[in-house]
Amino acid sequence: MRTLFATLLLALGLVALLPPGAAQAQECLDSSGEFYVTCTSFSSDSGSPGIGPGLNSGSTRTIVRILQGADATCGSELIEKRYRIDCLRLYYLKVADALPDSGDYLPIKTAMLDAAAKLDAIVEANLDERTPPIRPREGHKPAAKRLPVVRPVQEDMADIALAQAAEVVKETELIIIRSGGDPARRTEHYTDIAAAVEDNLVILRSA
Amino acid sequence: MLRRLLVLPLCLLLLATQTFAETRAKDRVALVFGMASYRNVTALKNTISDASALARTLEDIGFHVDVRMDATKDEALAALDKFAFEAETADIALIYYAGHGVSVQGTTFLIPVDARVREAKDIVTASVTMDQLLAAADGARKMSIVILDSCRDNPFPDVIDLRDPEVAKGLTTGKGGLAAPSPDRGTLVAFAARDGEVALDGDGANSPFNIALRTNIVKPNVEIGLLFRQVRDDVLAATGNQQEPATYGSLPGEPFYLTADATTASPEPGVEELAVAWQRVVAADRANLEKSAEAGDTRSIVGLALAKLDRQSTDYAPEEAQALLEQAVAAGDPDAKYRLAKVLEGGLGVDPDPARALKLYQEAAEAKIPAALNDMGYFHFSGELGLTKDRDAALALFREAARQGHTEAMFNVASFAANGLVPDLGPKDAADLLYRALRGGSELALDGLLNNADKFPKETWAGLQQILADNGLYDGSVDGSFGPGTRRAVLAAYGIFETED
Repeated sequence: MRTLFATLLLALGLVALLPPGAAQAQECLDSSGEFYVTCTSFSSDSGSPGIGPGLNSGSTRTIVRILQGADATCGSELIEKRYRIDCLRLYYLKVADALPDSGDYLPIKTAMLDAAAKLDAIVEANLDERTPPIRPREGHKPAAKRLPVVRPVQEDMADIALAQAAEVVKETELIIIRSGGDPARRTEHYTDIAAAVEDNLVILRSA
Repeated sequence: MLRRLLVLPLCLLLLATQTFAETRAKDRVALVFGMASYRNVTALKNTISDASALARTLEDIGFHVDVRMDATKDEALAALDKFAFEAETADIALIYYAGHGVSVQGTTFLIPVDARVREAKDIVTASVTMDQLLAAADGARKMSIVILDSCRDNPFPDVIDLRDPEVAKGLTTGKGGLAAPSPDRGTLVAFAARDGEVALDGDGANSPFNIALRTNIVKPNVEIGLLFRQVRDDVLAATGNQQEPATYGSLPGEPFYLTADATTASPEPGVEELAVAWQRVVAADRANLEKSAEAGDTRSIVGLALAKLDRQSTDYAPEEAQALLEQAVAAGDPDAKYRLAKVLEGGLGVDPDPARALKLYQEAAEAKIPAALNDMGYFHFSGELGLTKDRDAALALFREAARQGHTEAMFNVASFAANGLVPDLGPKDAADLLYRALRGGSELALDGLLNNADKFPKETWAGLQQILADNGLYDGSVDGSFGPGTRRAVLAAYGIFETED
């Protein structure tokens, strides 16, 4: 699962390609002083004040930080495998929540919402109703804010469900790659970076 | 199950190996011949000073230059052989030849100093051909340039009667024509004079062509297509229109410079980079580019179009860009079709139009544009742009593109072959294709291979290790295991040399 998260973060490493000197997103702590990097929280209900409609490195960094939070929380050994998919879903929703409903980040927001819905479907299909949900803390830090309720999948279905979730992550990754950079760069991402892997076949587009 | 992956940008790839320092292969290499002291035909006066002067100029603009004066045929062929290997990891390979030459029915023979020609057919065994020069420079990743500073008149008037049609029949080298050039890579052949014309020696120590060449190639930021146009104009002026240099070949889709100022990075061929790069040409030399475009030069039209897609420029005008591309497409230019397809697929400043993009990709592929063939293969493989997945169709397209030297297509065919999906190609063929893709400078192939080492079976890796060892790039065991040594050798084949700090 760590690989799964690391891969997604790698995609977002495209932040390095974004224009230099771009506006920094606002960063702040929540009331507990522990919930880091962004002014949004799991319970916020509208777009982040820190992210505007145009792509910039600061905003992208904010998304990266949220997903690093996903890595630290859902990818940790401290959380059982069966809770990880729903945990990731919550972070995807958090990213979507942090993004405005228009502009260059809209494809990422849509991708995150779609991915969250697919992860939800995976959890629902494999839901373990006899095991109680949990509310882990952000990054498993003692004083950090707790996540909303995280539902488990059935123990014996966890590996299959995680494989399905990994596919969702991969799909989302591509959409994010293709949205990375300014619009002039987008064509390059649509046409040049993509490669396909199917049954051990690695297939490249023309450079 | 279709899965996508991110091909790592090379910089990220290299970050993973911080304990190593890396050096890159020379990105511009030149081989300069000057032939003067002929043993059996008239000696020449200015060729040595012409070659020396050009070699110095090339060094000044960053070329790694190998100079061969008064070379015999064996020495010339050995130098070409060595140069061909170096050229494979260079962006530009340039060969300059000053000496006797003779052109018979389209075949140009260059005469080494030890040539002894008693009868017409001896010329084939005694000389080096233009095709051999082109082959030696052909491996360069972006631009191959062969410059022939030689009057291709007849140094053997007593032996060869060029007016006799029977002579040509005896002088065939048995080689077919050159492969169709790829628009991704350019090939330029420049002759000091048109076929049959005399190239003048001039009054001083250097020929008018040599002087014009040296004067113009040091000018920064002059695009290569416009540069050789300027050389021609200068030579015509200096010789009172008696001598007209001629150029042949195809130039790359991206603008290309022999001399660039410090801020100029050679662009990668993404559409956005092309836009920025062409915008720089417009800024530096708008008049000449527009003149070429008005004269119907579709490359200049495409260049002007792409320049209008640079969002940072005040010339940004995507609708005008599309109109110009449509103009070049209407003129039947297949490269323009490919460029417009990319613009419409991605929606670069215009509304995306996948259906039209597909049609243009198809037409460009039918015109055998290698990048279009490969992309059409990709669409058939992945089922994109509304196509039904069809691996047979994809493989056929990849093979066609690979035959034309398209490096990503070579990688794709290798991927099929490595997994036993090509009846007539085995692991060794897959390894050979991977090696050629790396030597051809495909960064995507390098990343695709290193990031998906597990997708290539041991037999393929063993084959690749053997090829790397045969070329002096690998000294580990040929066991099919992908480890640090193999990784280093793969990077070296691409042209990146890691040394432990």
